[in-house]
Amino acid sequence: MTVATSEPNTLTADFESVVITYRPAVFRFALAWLRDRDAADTVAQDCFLRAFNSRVAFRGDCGVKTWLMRIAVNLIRDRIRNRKLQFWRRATLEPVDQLSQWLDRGQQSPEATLLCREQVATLWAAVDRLPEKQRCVFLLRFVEDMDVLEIVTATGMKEGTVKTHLFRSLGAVRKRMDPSI
Amino acid sequence: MSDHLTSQQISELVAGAPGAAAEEHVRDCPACRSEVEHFNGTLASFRQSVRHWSEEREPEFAPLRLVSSDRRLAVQSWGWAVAVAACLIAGVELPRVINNRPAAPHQVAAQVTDAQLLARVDRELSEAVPPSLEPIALKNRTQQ
Repeated sequence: MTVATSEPNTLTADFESVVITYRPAVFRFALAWLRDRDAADTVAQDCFLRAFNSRVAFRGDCGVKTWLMRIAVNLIRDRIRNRKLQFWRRATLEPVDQLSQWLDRGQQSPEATLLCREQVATLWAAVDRLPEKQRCVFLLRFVEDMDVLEIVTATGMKEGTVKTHLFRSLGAVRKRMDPSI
Repeated sequence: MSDHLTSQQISELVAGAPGAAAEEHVRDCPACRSEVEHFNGTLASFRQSVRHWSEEREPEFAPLRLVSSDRRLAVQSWGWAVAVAACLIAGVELPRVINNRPAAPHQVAAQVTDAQLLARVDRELSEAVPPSLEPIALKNRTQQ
């Protein structure tokens, strides 16, 4: 069964389909933001638990993915706040410089692959330095392919604020990739 | 002043919210078009790397466990409470057990030596005859 967006009845009728359809996206977004597999798994788990408990309240004003992303964004923000408070606990973060290894460049020459990996590694390093809100907007736009209005709903920010964060994050990333800019 | 797009305009183009002038410029200017395409390509590679990474790291799908992390945290806290209680009990009970253990052989020997010494002191102190009458007492003992 496919999950139609903006369909509240689907949520109550077949929640497992919702989980199967959207869990990869929620996990991916949390993983890209937190760089911690266990934390991302917990966020995904809690996200669907919250969604399940409040599925009756979902009126279909936005897409299911946007609604789930809004829950995930709040959970991740809580988690980051707790991580700052629990300074003695060490999270096992994936090193930024190793993330470009996940790039599959089977069709390219070794030189082109190497160059591409270097660029992606630099981009990862730039994303890692972005402030929390800019990183959130950047990942929703360029990892989850969400448009500005969907990001507005998912983050609870105003449209102008989302655009500002998006342009600033892109500017910071470009500057990191090419310091001459 | 440069005729090319500004950094802000390139960001707007890449973000998908370009102005009409920027869109027109990028159609006519190969340098700016190349710049935008290159940046878009890097972002696409970034997206691809995140997707592969996530697919590799994603745990097997399991039916939704209806236990939140708060609940798991509570269970964890109970675990800690039990561990602390066990440590306290061990701290109180262990010295008592150690004290009640039978004494080691060298401790027994030392206790025997102490007892003998005390017995000798007791015996010497409990002599019935004062030292000045000791010769008479000795004479009596030999006559008996």
